[in-house]
Amino acid sequence: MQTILEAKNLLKNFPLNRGIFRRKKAQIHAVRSVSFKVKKGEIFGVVGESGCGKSTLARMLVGLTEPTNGEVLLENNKLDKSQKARLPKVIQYVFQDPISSLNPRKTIRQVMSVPLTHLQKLSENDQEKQIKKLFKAVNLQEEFLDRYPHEFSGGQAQRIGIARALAANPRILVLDEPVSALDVSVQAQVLNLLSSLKKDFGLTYVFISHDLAVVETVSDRVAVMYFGEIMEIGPAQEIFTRPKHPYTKLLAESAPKIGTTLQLNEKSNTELPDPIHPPNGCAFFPRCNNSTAKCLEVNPKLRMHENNVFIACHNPIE
Amino acid sequence: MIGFIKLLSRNRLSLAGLVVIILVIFTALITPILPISDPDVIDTKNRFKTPFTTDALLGTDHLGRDLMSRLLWGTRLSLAVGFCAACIAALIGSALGIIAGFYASRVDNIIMRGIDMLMAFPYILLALAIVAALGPGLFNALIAVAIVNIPFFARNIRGVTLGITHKEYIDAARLSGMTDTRIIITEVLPNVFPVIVIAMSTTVGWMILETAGLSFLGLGSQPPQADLGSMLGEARAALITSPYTSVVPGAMILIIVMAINLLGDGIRDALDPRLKSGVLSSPRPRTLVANYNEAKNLDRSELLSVSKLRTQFHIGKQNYKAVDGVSIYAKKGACLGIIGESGSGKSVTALSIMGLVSSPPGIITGGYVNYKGSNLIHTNDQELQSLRGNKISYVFQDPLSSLHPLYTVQKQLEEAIKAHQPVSQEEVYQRSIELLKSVRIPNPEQRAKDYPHQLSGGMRQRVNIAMALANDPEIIIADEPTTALDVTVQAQILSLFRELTRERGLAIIFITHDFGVVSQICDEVAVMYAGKIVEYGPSEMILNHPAHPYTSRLIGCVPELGKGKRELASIDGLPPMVDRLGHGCAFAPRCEKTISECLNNDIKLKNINANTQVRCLKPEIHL
Repeated sequence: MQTILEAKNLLKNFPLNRGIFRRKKAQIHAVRSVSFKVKKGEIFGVVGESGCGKSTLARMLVGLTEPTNGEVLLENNKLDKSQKARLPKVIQYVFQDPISSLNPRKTIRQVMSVPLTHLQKLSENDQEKQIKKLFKAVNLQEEFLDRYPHEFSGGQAQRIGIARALAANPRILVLDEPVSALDVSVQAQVLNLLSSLKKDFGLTYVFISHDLAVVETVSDRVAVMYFGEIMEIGPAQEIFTRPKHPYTKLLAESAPKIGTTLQLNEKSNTELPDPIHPPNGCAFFPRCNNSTAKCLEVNPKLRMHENNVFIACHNPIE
Repeated sequence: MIGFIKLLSRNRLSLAGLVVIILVIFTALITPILPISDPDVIDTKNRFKTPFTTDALLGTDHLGRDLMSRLLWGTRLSLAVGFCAACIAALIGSALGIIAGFYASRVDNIIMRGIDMLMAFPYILLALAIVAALGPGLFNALIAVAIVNIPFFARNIRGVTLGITHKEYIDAARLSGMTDTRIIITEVLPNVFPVIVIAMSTTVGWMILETAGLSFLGLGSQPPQADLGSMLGEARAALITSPYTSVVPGAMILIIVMAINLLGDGIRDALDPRLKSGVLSSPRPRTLVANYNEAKNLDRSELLSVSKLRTQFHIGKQNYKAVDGVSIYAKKGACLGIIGESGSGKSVTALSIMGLVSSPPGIITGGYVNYKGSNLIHTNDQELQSLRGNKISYVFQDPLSSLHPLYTVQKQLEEAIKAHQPVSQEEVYQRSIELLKSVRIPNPEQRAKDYPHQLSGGMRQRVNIAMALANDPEIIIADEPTTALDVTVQAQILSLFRELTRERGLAIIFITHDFGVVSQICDEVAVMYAGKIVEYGPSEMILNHPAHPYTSRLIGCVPELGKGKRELASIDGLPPMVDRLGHGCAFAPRCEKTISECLNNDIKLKNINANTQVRCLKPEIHL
């Protein structure tokens, strides 16, 4: 299959203490050189805990955050200045908090018409038709169009957010925790809606979440992120049934499942690495049960392991 | 608009201000058609006539000009200049503020440092300097006053814009193809506008005063033109002999500025979104109990039993029945889970136990909370106070916002201990270190000196649990304590809770929305829907063989790890709003097994076996 989106050595540092007299600026290393390819028509899941850089990565993919280094390639083409302006036509973003991604002082119709006017350049008549079509696609009633965002529940607002993203007629949707603010029963509705929209609109998804189970139900391929780097990447089934990286295994075992008893899989007094002074070796070293002296010295590179699974680990789980 | 007036009229003084200012503006507007003499005609024969003596109602000034006429014309001019200056200052100041806030970094730096320089000069000195440079005259005074007030607007608006620029809808607008200019006009401006109006309403009064000040010094309106300031200035020489010539314009300034300021306060309160929804008053120390129907105590001799609890929120005409007849029992050494979706009333149940639901708008209208033979709903304030954080303590969802950001962990722990136990400083320190150890915080002596922001989320929640444990509680009520945490950290916190029940024999009431968590630590579970318990019993039983259709279908919605890519089961529709519940089962509209009886009558919680109760006419049949 064709590669539609590629991240090449994406890296993002956020400067701290922008002092006038201080020469050496401290930096937060949010994303530390991430590379992957997303194939046309697939759902690419990105999973990781808070602070692992998954949201920063998502924002770089859609052009909301400028990478410090590296680049985003669309269909193997680098983006120059003029193409960057067209980026929203190809790749759109669905926000985590559905209510706060809608301007409180605009009706839903006004919100929906923005991408249709500015990106699609549709006439007013065509806009009206398109809005109706999109609202039907996300299962919302048309009478909602003249209401304001605060009148909606989380699930409804997220459908509006999805409809707004679709209004740009993109080929790729980056979904940043699209269901984490929703209740379980509504979460299932939205996830099912997303998978039917993907078929109807011929979309490719980058699906970001902290919830392994949610990522598993939707994804074809998955990347596991920790501390700004990809730890493991490969077909979803491989990753979730036979995790090779100790971190993936820890994540999978920590997720509470119905009918399982509580077990602790890691030492309780582990400390997370400092994002201002990243360690030389593997970032997961202090929490890892498989670690050796080498892990402290050399940061493992992402390498092919087996069955199309790539891992960044010196001592993978057999 | 009517709503706005209504909000405004809550503040009587500001309504009075509104009436006065409307009267003043109206008079100023009709001054040209009023039958009064020309304000500038000099009649030295009739100088210093006292009020009410001649045909000049308010008397005449040192040149024999009619004071009444001069006052009206002067007011007209002063108002016009004040409002113009306010508009100019608001326009330029807000524009600068929005641009600085929106573009931030370098643009912000340049603009705001310029503003800072303007602010570094004393107020009146700057105005004087500007007038001195431009030459005296009313128009120049207007410009001076406007410039002096630009920093106030720029600073205020910049702060607000800075907050808005980081909102997600601005990112969304950018991704919808909007240019920066358009985003500023259509997304930022409408949200900043109320702040601009508030700032204007509170500064117009000042600007009228400042213009009057400049005119008083002879730098504003030039003779013979009258404005309130110049009238005062001219009257100064006769202050002792004919005081009324100063009192007349002075009183008018007082009335105008007072009215505008009162109105400004009212506008600020009415436009503030935080005040729009709630009432202006601050919450009470405990939840209000009203229309109280004391339920029979269904004491099953458990540590804590809650019977038929009813908690409602009265907002406007709506009455939200958040908790509607909930009965739960907390047992020693066991963990009771309360599970439900948002709005099901699970948190309100937990908060009602110790009267922590904020009132207004919360009201407890019924029930019986039995702890050691006394009804906690009806105890006096001191008794409740002595139990809170002592024998019954809480752990909340957000570990950061439940700790005080300005005190060290140690200080907060010591405070929690000292609130209930008279112990020495040395002992209190030892105790707090022990507490940190007991929640397995590594290096407790070091950690105790940290501030909350220096700790990770998991560590903060441990500190909160340590505080809850400070006075050897018998019951801990934990409201979604792991929802804000990562799964790996969640596992650690859950195991800590389990240890507390198993080893210390604590009773824990654990509020959650996650069936996986229930499965891992709860012995019993109550499933809530629309303010009622729909199923209650041993958690293993309920998770494996749910009897209520809601429980069973909700469990079906939970994505479970290890099942691969698939379509999830979902429940159509939304949970009902608890302010318009009809008769019958609240779940009936979403249920597949609904029969006509489900809709007619309220359904009772019934035992389907020795331990499990279900509120359903057609429960899923299991054994």
